[in-house]
Amino acid sequence: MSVHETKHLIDDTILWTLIDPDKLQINEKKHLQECQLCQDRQASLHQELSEIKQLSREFLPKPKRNLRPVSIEKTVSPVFYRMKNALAYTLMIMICVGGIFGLWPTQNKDIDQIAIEQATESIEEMLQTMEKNQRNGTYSLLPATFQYIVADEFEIMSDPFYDYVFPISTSEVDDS
Amino acid sequence: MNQISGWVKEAQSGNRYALNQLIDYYQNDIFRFVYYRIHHQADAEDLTQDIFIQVIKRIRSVKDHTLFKAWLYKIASNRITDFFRKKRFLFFMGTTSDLESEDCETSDKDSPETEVHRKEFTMRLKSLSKDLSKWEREIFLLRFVDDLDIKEIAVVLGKNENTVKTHLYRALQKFKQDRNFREFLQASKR
Repeated sequence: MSVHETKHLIDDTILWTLIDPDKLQINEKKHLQECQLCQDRQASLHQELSEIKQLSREFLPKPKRNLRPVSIEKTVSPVFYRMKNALAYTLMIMICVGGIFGLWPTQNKDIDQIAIEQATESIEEMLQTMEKNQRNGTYSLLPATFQYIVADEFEIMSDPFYDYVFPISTSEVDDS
Repeated sequence: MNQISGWVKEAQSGNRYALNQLIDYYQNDIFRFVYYRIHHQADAEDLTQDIFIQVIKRIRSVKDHTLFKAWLYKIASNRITDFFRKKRFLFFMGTTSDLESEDCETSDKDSPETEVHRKEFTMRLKSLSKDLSKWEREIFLLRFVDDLDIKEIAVVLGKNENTVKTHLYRALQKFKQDRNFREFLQASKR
């Protein structure tokens, strides 16, 4: 049977020759091998598709920089970073737990204890001042700076207030 | 292909030279793959670098050395999906104005004719892409722009080979109906 006596391949079959030539039936393959018209149709379509590939390369802009990523030299092992992070997290957890349960030294002292300490301290200070005053012959609790504010000439006996409290007439012995 | 497999094997054992050879061999292919999907040169360059960073990090996971190319394109494909997802999110949040960026840069070296030709090619390809479904478009580009065979496309997209063939067949039917693009291609050929 001549090629011209058989029907030409339909468009869909021509398409399949480009996708999967094995899908064609034996008579279709044979026809394609012998029919120049069908071969031209197939070649034309194939050429158009090849042109897409070629033009896509031709019209692709040239990259303006090197596309190879800059390699980063690792000077420190990643294990170090993992250990460092683990240590940091552990410390943070310890600080938080210590804060919540009052395990830090500053949180151990009771407020009463602090008040007693402060009172003891001030009493000791006062006693030291008193001892010092005793040694110096002064009997005032005032610090040395304030000891001589009162005038030296001051005599209690001449104070009118003293006279008022202890009138002279009543203090005298009645001779009669 | 044996050489590629050899480089992959060497790169997996920590050979930096082999890794660089692989990157140099595929960098134009990956750049082209990215560029014809996002149509923006600077973004395509950034993404290409990101893709190779992923390759460096994950090359030890390649089991079949002969399928390295498909594995590489799969990473690239995933990265592009991430790129568009992020872009849609930014558009939704109002931090970017355009959902589809357009590259307006022209090369100084190209003649005005070449530039016009280039723009028309890009426009025709995009026009065809709009007529195709997502899978048809992706398979058509992988087959006729990126020059992957059916088996490699199936690996990249995680689909059955017969499914890939069916999508490709439908895409070719639509291409055949796109007279403007076909006339443009025939005119370019002459």
